[in-house]
Amino acid sequence: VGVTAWYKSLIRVDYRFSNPLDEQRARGLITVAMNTVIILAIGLVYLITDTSTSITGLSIGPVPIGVGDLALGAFLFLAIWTVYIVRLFIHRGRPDLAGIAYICFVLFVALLESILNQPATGFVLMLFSFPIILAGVLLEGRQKRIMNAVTIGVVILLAVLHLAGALEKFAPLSLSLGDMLVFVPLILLLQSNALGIFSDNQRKLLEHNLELNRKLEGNLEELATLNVRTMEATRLKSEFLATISHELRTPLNAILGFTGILLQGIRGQVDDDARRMLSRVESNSHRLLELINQVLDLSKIEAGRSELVRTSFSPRALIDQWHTQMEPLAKEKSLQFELVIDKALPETLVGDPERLTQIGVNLLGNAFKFTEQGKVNLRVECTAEDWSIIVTDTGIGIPPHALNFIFDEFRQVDGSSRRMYGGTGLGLAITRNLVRMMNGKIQVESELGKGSIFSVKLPLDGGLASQPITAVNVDKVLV
Amino acid sequence: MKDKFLQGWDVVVVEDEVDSLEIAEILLMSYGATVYTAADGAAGLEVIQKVRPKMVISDLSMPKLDGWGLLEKLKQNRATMDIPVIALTAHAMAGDRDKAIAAGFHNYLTKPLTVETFLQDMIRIVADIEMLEPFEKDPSSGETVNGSKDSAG
Repeated sequence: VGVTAWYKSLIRVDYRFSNPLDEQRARGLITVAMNTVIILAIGLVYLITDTSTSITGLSIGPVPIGVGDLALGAFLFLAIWTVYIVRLFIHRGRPDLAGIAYICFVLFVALLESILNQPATGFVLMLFSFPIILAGVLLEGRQKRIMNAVTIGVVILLAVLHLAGALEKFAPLSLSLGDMLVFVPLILLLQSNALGIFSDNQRKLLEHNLELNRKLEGNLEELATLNVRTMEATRLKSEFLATISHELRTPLNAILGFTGILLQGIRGQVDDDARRMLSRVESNSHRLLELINQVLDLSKIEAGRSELVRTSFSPRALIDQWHTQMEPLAKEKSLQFELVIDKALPETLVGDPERLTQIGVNLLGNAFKFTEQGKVNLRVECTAEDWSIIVTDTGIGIPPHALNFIFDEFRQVDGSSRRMYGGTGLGLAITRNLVRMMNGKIQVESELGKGSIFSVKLPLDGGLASQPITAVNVDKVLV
Repeated sequence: MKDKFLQGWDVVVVEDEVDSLEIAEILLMSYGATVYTAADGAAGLEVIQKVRPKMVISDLSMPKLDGWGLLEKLKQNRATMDIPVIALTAHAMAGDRDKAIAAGFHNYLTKPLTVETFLQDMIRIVADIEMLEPFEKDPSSGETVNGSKDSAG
């Protein structure tokens, strides 16, 4: 019992198995191996306690050990492995093979005993104890305890009968005390753990774990379904937006067209007051059109219907173009506009120059929009794998709480800043999504009142982005 | 406009969006053209066959007979096959432009039609058409036009 407890604690240490069934199998194997060691140890005790009181010359103290005893030890050793195999077959749903293994074993025992010219003690013991052991193993809870009690009862009965000399009269069962010494502890060992079957508590724990695993798998499945539904909802929303955008643009284009005709005096001159108001109609219509175009753009990106062009282009020429495009803004606000390009930047890159311009112009546009004095710096850096577009300004900066949603749709720092600075609040969301499509990263660092740094890091190979953008969380925020 | 560069031109505009149609009409008239309008391809075909205009401007997606179908019908008829047809394509449908040129449209105009861009586009297109006139019977004229349009731009 002590040894059993000890190695049970030993095998409980290792819980690294990912699959509880693997663990169960491993425990079974360890248990059988441990039992084998114990039986071999018993055999060793037999051998070293050499006396000349029996035919074999072996005895345990005063108890002589016959050839039958040794055979019995060997049979029990075999019995453990047989039980292990039988259990394996039963667990695999092959009771037929289990039965064949058991019959083979019993026949083998009988064969050995006839060869050794021994009374069929082992044979009878095996025949009679094996079903008890197996029943004890396969049964659960109360039934198992009853079976254990029956087994122990039978063993005790045998012992008593033996001591009373009653078994001597029963010819095939000439059980000696040595037989009993081997038989009793081993049958208990087999019963309790030779099969690697856990105690009820362990079994419950295992079942609980399995149940939890099953639940977890169910939850995962549910989550996957939910995710698919969310993606579907996003797609539908984007499709709806695309349709709506088109429907919005049509009347707006009519407004712009007719306003333009009136402003150009194509149908006769309009007076200055009317012209002033028509200009307001025109500029507001342009703003609305820009918003609609951005919504359409964003919804297309989110619906995964926006594809990047892959063409070779000159990054220097592209950046020069941004510089030229932004220069009037810098002059208008009397801001310095610095441009620093890393010498390591390759002459040509592969990517989507139009979309890159959208990113660059957006970041620069924001920098100029939110900077009243000082400078805007555009720095282009290059490493072995990627290149970065870094826009630094000395503007109003972004408060820390706003850094978390600065890339979200329709988010500016607060409503008043939108009134003050205009814009749709979609620029950064589009930029972020475009950067993602290019397998790049966008980061922002900012200090309130001091300025902001937006940096976009893009892979030099152009970033083959094929997956649609569905997530809407910020890549990384540095404060 | 002061510059009546379409003086003496008969132009047929086929477009199912009434606003877009009227804007085109007003602008073309301001350049001196005589404008005939139709709200779908079938009506457009009738007008074109009657008027034999110098130029057709047609939307692509229309009820009854769309722009593609209209072009096909015009190309089938010896009397109308040489009339240059300009496709009106939506700004968002970038792919339509190349498709339109490949299908045999003389050129394309991008919607929305604004006063500034329409004038520029028309000057370019008209220059192309006038350059083309000596080669009008050349079956490979489509490509010539395309090439000259690119060099002009």
